[in-house]
Amino acid sequence: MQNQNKSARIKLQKMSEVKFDPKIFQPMKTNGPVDYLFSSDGGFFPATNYMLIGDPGIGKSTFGLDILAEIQKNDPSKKVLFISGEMNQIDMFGYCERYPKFKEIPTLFLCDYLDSNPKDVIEKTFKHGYDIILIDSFIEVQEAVQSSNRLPRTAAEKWFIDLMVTHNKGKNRGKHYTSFLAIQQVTKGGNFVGSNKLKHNTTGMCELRYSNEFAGDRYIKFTKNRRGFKYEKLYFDLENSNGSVNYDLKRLERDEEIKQRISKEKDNMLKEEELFNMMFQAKENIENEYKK
Amino acid sequence: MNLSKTFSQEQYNSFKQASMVKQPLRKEINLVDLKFITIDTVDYCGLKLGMSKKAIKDIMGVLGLAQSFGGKLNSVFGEQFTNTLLNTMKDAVSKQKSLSVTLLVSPDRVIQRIHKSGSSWVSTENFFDIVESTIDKSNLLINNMQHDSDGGIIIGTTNPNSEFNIKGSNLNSSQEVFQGGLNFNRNYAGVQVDPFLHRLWCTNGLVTKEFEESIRMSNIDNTSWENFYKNLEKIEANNFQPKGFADKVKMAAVTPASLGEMDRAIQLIKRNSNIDDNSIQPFIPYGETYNAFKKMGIQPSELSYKQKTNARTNISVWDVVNGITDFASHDYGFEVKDPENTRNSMMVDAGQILTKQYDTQNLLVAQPF
Repeated sequence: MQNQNKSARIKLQKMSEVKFDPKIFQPMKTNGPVDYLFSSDGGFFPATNYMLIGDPGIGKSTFGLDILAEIQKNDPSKKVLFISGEMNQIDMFGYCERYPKFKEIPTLFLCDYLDSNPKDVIEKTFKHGYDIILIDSFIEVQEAVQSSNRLPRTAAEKWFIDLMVTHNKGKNRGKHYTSFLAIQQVTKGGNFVGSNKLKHNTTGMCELRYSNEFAGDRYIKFTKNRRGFKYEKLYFDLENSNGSVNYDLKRLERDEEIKQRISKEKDNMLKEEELFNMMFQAKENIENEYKK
Repeated sequence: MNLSKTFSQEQYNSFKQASMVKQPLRKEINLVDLKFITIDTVDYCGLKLGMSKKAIKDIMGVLGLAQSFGGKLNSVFGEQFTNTLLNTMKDAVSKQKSLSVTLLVSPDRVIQRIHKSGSSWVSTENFFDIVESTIDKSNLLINNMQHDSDGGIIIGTTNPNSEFNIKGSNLNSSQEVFQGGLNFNRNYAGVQVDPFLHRLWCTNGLVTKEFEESIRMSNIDNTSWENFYKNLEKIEANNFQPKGFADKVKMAAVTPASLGEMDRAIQLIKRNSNIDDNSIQPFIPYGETYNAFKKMGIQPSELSYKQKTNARTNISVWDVVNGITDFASHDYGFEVKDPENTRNSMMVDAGQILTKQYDTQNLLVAQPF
């Protein structure tokens, strides 16, 4: 109701008149195939917000942390942060035994601040300035703030989205155009949970799913990505883990090949149909066309 | 003459070119638009098209008639009534189900095959792409290339590094050395890739369709392609030796062939060439067996098929398999009919005999009553 009474100042903009720091357009890379899911240029762009949804236990946290660790490894100047709303230090310690590279990721354990002021803690932490923050999960942060700071659900969500946008714009120490990768809940039907505001501020929606075709296979798929993507599906596994998420490069290559074959087959069918229609003409013409 | 050879790039290129030119064209049409002029000539929107025997069988299937019925219609009903009957049935079926079909039409304007829409035909271009990428990836050599009149293509390959031998009782391990490979077959039902085995001692070729490594891709969609590639990887990982093949050979070597199996091989060779009974002997040495039965007062030719499957011979199933593959893989001058198709199909038949359950496998020789 409050929003309806507010009169917004209308300001039309031309992109030719807008200037941005060129750093915003330099993607952060993991140097893995996942880069081409996050953008067609390859990499995770600054000032973007991605929602990560998926089946329970499929490896959303592992996938997110793997990205953080690889970005940091690839460019140690990049500052990364993990906000753990689900795991405590003991859980995380055990987890890091399996994935040692996660040990170096600075982590804020939300469970330590539930009785104080999580809103304040998060704001203060973000002010240090980070390039990429993984939130596990958006709803945990929202609910923690909602209950500890006694805010209505929509106000808590609005606060967090506004905070993300502020840091997208680099309003922090060191002027880092923070990108967010937020794990988000889905409904039982698999749909995204969140307001329109959250949807509008989301650059892309990344889904982790089990394959229906081949039991147990897991894949990552983007259902929306404003930065474009090169690959449709990227299969991965955690079972043969060497402390990393293993991306199935062979299958990726094959999927690309299959895509090309299917499109070629469609072209061939059209070509054949054209040649068939030429049968209504003289036989010699068809033979010449065949030879082409 | 040994027919197994490695083809040059030039030979392959000209084979590919010839296949492209022979390629039947796919055209999806509403069945109602097809009008029978005679049983083997139809009209499609003013275009006269011939119908192959297989296409006639296909259309019988689409109309819900027994496939063999096509051949008898004219003689039973006469030409005019046959055409009226077929057109009426076709219109009734297509109107009821608004049926569309895909025609495979060869460049000489003959419908080679007809199938219900949702094409399973893989274009020649895509087929050669699959063959070439597999050959490059797995270092295969081409040693067989054939066409058939339906637009079907067969390409047989072996991997020179996939040699393996099989040791076992009744087997001479120096003779049982094989090279594995793949037999690519593009036909009406899609693309089929089967393990191909080349027995180096006698340069016999064998195509096996019954092992789990055989792959068929009948639909052009992601899942079929993915399955196809997954299976292909499995074969490669096993160095082109089908799982269970060695065990089958060992068993075939110690299992006596039945008279039925021996006869099947003899008939197969006779049916496909001008060979006489005496000349079959080097391939399938039936003389000793026949004489032994005759001495006992049993005429093999008078036995029923079932009885033959219960009668043991003095050669093994493996001997029968090798007799067929020897004949199929070499030109001994017996005028093999339609050699391009026959030789490959004989190798497939030999593979079927090897992989099936043997007639005498569970034969109880001594019985108390």
